[in-house]
Amino acid sequence: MIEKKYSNTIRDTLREELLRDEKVFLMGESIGGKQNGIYKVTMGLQEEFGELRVMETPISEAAIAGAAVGAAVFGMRPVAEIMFSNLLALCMDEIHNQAGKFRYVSGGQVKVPMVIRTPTWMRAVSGPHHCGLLDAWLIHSPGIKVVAPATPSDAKGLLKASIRDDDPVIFIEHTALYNVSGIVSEDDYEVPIGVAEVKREGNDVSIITYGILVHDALEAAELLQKEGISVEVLDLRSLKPLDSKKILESVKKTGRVVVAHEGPKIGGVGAEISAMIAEEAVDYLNSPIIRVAAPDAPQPANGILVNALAIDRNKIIKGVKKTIQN
Amino acid sequence: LKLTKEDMLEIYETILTIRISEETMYDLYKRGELPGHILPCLGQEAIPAAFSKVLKDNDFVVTGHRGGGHYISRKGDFKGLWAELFGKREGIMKGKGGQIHLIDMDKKTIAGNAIVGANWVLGTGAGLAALFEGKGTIAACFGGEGSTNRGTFHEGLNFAAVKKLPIVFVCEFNFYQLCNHVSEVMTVENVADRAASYNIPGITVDGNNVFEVYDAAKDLVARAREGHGPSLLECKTFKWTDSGTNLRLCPKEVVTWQTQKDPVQLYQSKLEELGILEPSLCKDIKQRVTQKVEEAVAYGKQCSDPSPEEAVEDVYSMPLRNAQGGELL
Repeated sequence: MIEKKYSNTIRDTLREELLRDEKVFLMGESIGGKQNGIYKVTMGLQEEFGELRVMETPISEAAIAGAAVGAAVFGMRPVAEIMFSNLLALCMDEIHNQAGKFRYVSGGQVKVPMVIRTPTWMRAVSGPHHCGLLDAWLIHSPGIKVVAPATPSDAKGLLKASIRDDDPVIFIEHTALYNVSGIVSEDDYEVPIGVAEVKREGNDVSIITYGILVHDALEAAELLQKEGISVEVLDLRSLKPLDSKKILESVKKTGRVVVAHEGPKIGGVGAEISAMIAEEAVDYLNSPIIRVAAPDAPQPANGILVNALAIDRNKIIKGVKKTIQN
Repeated sequence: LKLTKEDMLEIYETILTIRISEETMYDLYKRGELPGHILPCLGQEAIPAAFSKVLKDNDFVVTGHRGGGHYISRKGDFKGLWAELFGKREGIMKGKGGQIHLIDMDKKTIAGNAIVGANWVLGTGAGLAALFEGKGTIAACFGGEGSTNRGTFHEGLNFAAVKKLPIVFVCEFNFYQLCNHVSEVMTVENVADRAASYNIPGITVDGNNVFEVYDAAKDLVARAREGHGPSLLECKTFKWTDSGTNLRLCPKEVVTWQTQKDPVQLYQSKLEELGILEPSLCKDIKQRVTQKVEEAVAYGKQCSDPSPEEAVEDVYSMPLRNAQGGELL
């Protein structure tokens, strides 16, 4: 067990998988050379594995994703990087129509063992085209798996599971998590895709969330504890498959639910979770489900405006209190 | 590498199988006996037929629309093809892909994609896999001229060129995208001219002449096998049919191509001229191919329909449950 940053954990995990399986290769914009990744996540990998297995690409998102699909179909295990998750819009055809549907249209003949790593860049002042996230688009695509680890330890286990999975996986990182440290086992382990984890146990309210907001939720839970409110924090870890079993267990235990995520509330990941809870466990609810999510607006450039939209600890606390008042 | 007499006769059987199978498919479709949506390659058969003698079994093939000929030229499961055309469970894709997505992974062949232009980036990925595979493996990637107006054509060819991937990109230039003539949708006469943007060879040939396609393809494939990177081969041809829906081509133009530039007839005449195809042999081959198609049609027709539960199978590599066994809602 060692303490490691989220970004370094991803780097080391990529390295381990490159060493383990010669079918694994990385590709993306500026992931090697002097840059070593726009966030330095792939530091030193091209130097170690060469320009073929750690391949820099033109700025061609459709070609990166499409070539990942083509290479996966013909036996490779590509791990492609799309520099910001908002840029997935540039290759949604390759994700939605090709990666997700290939196995199905082939009647199960084709495997598409590919990963797209992509960092969400929120809480930043880069404006509406760099920032933004499309998590809800992704879970709406049949055949695509989506994971979003919140801790270095989960990042390692989920990245290994994603690379070894025979289906296409979108691996959502977060720029605000790259510098977060955590304890990581040095064992070769996988965190199974589709399994959520209770990051903090509680009895009064369940906060269901993922990614960066797991940390905000844990801080919120700590503060609320001082006010006598016992909060459970469920980290989804996978957005698809969704761990409905764990979600329902937590809901049945507390009877009050806050679903928190960074993307817009309308048609968001939280809408799916809330609807599922309403369908399966409405009788267990003591108050209406509260979604803490962004308004229907693009990401602005001005910091004041960014903060106005951003989901944080305080907004989560407000959401929890609302469920108690009801 | 010259074509032997045996090669030429094999190509003849291939081109004839494509013609008769696709004609039968089109007729059945028009009579309402085939479900779904079809994109026949009638009029374009010389290209897959020529490539059947250029590509090796372990090469990778990716096509866009009208991939039926390539499926047949790669010797994809023929009965499974016909079961698929009838939408049956025994179909090579279990009735899930249909005519526009003919896939036989045993033959390393993805013959079809309904997203126009997706073939260019998927083919680039096939080229990447071929590069990793080594041993001279290459990818052949086919698509119509209409699809070269998508950004994926530029992204794919630029990527392949800069990485020197072992790919032969083939433009099956059939003069119409949907029902628009090329002159209405692009300003260059030849798609091969676009190869200059990627600093790769771009060659234009008569796509209805098996020998011309073969000669050019052989050189470009050899070039790719030797590690000299991708190239663009443009084959000028013509689609005789619409997509099976109600699109209309100019009937006079179709008749001209059918009577004066029929790739099957041209090839047959050439073989006859060379003294390779005696009338009795020609008759034998035609009979054999016709019988093969008839048997496959009969087989396809009597196959079973999938059950409704199968609609949610083959989405993921495992059933739709999470890792703890919970139902995925």
